Amino acid sequence: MKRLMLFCLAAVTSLTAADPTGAEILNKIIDLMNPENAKAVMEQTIVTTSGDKRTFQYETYMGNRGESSLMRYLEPSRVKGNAMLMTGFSDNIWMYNRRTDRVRKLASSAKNQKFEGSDFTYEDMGSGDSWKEDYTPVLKGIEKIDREKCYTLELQLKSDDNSYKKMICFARLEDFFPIQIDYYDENDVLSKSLYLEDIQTVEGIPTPMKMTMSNHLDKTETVMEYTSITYDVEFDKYFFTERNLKK
Amino acid sequence: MRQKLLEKIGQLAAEKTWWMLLGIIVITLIFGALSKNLEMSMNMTDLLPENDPMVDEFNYIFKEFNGASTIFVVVEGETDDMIRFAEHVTPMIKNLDTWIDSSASTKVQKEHQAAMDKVKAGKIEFDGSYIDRVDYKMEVDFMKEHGLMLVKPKDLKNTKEIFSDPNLLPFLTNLNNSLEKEYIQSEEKLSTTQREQNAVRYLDGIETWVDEVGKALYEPKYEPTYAEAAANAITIGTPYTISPDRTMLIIMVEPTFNIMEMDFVMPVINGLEELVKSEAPDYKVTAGLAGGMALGRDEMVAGLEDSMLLTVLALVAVLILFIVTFKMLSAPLLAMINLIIGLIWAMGISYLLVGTLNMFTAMMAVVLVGLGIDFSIHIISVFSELTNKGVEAKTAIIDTLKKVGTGIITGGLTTSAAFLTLMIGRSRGLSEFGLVCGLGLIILMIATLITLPTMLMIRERYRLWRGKVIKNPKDVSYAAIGNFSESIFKRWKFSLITLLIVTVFFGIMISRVTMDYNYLNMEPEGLESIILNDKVIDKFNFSSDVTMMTAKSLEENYQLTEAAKEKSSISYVESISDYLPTIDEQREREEGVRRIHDIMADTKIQTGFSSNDLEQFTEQLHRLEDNIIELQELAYIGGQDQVDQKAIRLVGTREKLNTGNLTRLIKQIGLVTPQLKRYMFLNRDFAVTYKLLVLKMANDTPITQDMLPAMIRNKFISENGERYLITLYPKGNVWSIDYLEVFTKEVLDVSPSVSGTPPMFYYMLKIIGQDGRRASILTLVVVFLFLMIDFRSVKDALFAMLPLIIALIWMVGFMGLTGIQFTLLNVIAIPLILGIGIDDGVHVLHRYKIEGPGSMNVVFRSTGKAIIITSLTTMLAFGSLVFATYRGFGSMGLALFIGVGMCLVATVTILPAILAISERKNNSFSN
Repeated sequence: MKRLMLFCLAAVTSLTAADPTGAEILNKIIDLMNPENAKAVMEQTIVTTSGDKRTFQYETYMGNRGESSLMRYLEPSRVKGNAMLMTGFSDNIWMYNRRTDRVRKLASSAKNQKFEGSDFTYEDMGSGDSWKEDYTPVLKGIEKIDREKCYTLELQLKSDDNSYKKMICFARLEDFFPIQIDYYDENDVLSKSLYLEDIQTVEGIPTPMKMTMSNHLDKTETVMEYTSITYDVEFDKYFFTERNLKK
Repeated sequence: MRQKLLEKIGQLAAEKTWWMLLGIIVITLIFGALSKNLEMSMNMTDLLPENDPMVDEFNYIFKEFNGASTIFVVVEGETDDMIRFAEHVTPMIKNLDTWIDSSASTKVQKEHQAAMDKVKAGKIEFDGSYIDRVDYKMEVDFMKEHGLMLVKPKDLKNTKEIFSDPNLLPFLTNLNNSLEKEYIQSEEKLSTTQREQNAVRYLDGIETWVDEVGKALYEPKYEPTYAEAAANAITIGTPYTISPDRTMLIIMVEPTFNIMEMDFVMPVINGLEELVKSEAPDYKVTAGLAGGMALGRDEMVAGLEDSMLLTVLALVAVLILFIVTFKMLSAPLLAMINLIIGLIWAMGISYLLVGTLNMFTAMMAVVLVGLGIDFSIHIISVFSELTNKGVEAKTAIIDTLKKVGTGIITGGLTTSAAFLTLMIGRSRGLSEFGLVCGLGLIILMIATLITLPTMLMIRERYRLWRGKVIKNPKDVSYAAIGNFSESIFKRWKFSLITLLIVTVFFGIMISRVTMDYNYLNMEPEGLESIILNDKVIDKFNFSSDVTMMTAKSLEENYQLTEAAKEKSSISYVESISDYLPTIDEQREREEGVRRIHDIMADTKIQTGFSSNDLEQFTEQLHRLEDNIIELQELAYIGGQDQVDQKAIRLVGTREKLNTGNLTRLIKQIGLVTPQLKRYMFLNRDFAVTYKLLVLKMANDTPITQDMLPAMIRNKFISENGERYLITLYPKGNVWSIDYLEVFTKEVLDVSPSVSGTPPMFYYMLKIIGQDGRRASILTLVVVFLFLMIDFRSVKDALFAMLPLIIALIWMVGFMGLTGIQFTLLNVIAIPLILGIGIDDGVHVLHRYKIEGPGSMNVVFRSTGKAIIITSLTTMLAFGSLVFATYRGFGSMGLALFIGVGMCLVATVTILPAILAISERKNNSFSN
């Protein structure tokens, strides 16, 4: 009995006043996931409708804490030079095609759509700090994920204009870095999970060198990996503009 | 009681030999006649539980939708050749009965005649014709009259521009505007498989339009048909079911019967195959059959061949082993005759019990050969031992039955009980397998106890009549196995440690065992129906293994269709909604359609042309090229292969710029400016045809059910008019469990009331998995109870089971070590091994109880020999399954081969060590 009481006490006190609030954890997560600026080379593998695997390599530039990003394809040669620009936390998306030398703006509804055949949506790619406005963070407790103690932070949707009804972030106790994010669809069904792996400290910033989005409904997954990344980069005010897409 | 009965049988065999023989012949003739009626069905529905809602729905669809069991005629070749072939062969397919009568091979005509004889005898019902419908081309006239009422308001909004002016330049400009709105600025348009397919159809129309425009501008002689074809392509599209790369065409044949009616399946599938294959070379195409019915025929042929060939193979292998081990010819031959008689009895009983053999029960004979011969081994072994000692034949046969009869009954009942536990399964396939094999084994045991003594007596009388004398007795026991077991017995500590290490090693290896969930790996290799199905998936992005559901109203039909179209695992949804939108839907569309009609009616066909028109037209062609390039690269990045490949046919790729038709046309215009006159002709003929077509299609008259062509009504509306059929085409290979799981989940999400091969197969897998687990546990309990009754001690029963449990660990561990996978069929081996494998231990322990402590050498020398021979015969019988063309049976045979082998090894190694401990502790096994 005594042991049981001690256990209950420990469980209750595992979330003490010393623990941060949900909002504080969310702020930390967003700060960690959206550094001021970054430049990286990434690889992404998708599975085509015929079941073949296709790997793309592109350089990507992120600015204004995730508000803007620009991606330019390096491989394969069939799409080399094509580029994509997202601003306003993926509210505005432009595509540039090297072969036709034309820039097209995608419809605003594209935000919730699959990002180029992958299990990521455009929104997953560039949500930035919009989570703060769209979701209410609730700290649910502490649990172990992959042998690491993590805060379980539930993000509950405030209004209906988002594709996920709920998200659960598992952020490491030691540095608040999220190692797993579960996405729940409009029917409150776990639809996807993002696994942030091989976390390395690059220029003082923890960086997941590998990100795997696992789609539980389609039983597919997309892997994105950094080949190189640096945060020591500055962009001029015209960098994230339509004109720069063509360069 | 048992002893008295066995003694009576022995007496009858010895004294009333000829009466016994007559009785056996009569019984065999009766069961033989019954077994001839035993039919074979390889249908999946036969494996599912009876009165299952999914099977009921399947049967309902068959009944109400004239079969709904499509046979796919898959044609490959050049586009024009395929179309000519389809036009030629379709009327012949519709009159397949006549073609079979006049031109089919003798084999097919015999099958046809056999079916018709059954019809005449009133055994089966026939609709009067084999073929109900052949769908090879869209109902073009209906589309021309109501086409725009069938387009959703949202889609019409984006595409209405192209219906606003029939003249070439404005048309092309509007086409570009529409393309940009529809696809380039909205990736969503390609986000589902259905949308991807729509995009492919859209591009296909553009491809034909470009080809025809090219011909109109550059062919030496201008023909108005070029312009007309261009107009038709952009409005109606190709009426044929042709793959996006235009190398495959599909003709869908709906028979008047379903896959369960095998009497019709054989002549129709064989006849249809002969027909298309004999006509194809004349049109420079190849043709074959795919779909569930064609696969069912292939499976049945392979199953029948397997069943007969493997039974013979198992019999021959067992006979050879018998002759080699007993060094006798006549007795093994008698054992074989006895086995065949027993099998005939078992099959006759099977007919009375189940009537039809299914995919599982078809292998009953092989299982019974392997297990049934064991009874004969025990009888012949003791009988020859006694007669060799000079015991008179009558006494020998009675003594033999008294000595081994009870053991045979106990062993037979234990193994039968293991099979019968499978009857608890919900899967009809598995429960019938349990029933047929369980009761079959008991029948075989009874047949052996009656027939073999009678035949052995006839043999002895023949020998006496021929004046043959009994040869000198000789020791036929296996000394080596006796010595081996004794050495284990003596070094029990070392032996146990060694066995423990081996068991731990195999236990670790268990973690390496994987499961092969791909059912196609169970099928015979190289079946044309499977190869063609894979090709269809590759070319059309859909599988011929369709899933069906029904709706009670048009509204429900529309909702289900729309919900299904949103599912990523579904390639294509076919329903009456494509031809008959709901009243509300039609009301919503009326105004838009009317407006298109009014706008088009006010347009004028351009007459005066200048070179500026041609220049602008070329500019718009460039714009079209850019749009398609962007669409193609978006599709490439998005992994939408069909759109990518289709677009490549128009614009090539960066590496191969000039491979696209559109790019080549633009280049040609750049090199040789077309004559303005040609452009004028083209504009005139295109605009006139296009305008007429659009005016006709923009018909706002509400479509009613009566207006639908008969073909569409028959296809989608039930005979009683109460239900509508929705057919879902899977995007991938449903025989791969990963895809099947996603597909079934999505289909059930649309409606819980579905039917068809994929969901039934998924359901069957689930049931078999559950059945297998439950049967294994129950078998363990049943075997344990039998042992408790037999030994009258819990401890002794546990002792007897130990080698079996260890053997199972070794078996699964060995599979992990050698990379042998569990399959959907060989998982059934586990409960079977539990029933079969226990016999070895039981025989050894029984003998040990008789012989007493310190008798290890004697026990294994004699009983060891028997269990080695019985295990080897069982292994040979199951091992013969490895040669089955049905690879699933092969996997099952291999697992059983390993399992029975491991049980034998475990018995001869573990039991001596355990008995050594038991003796030391003066346990219950001592006298």
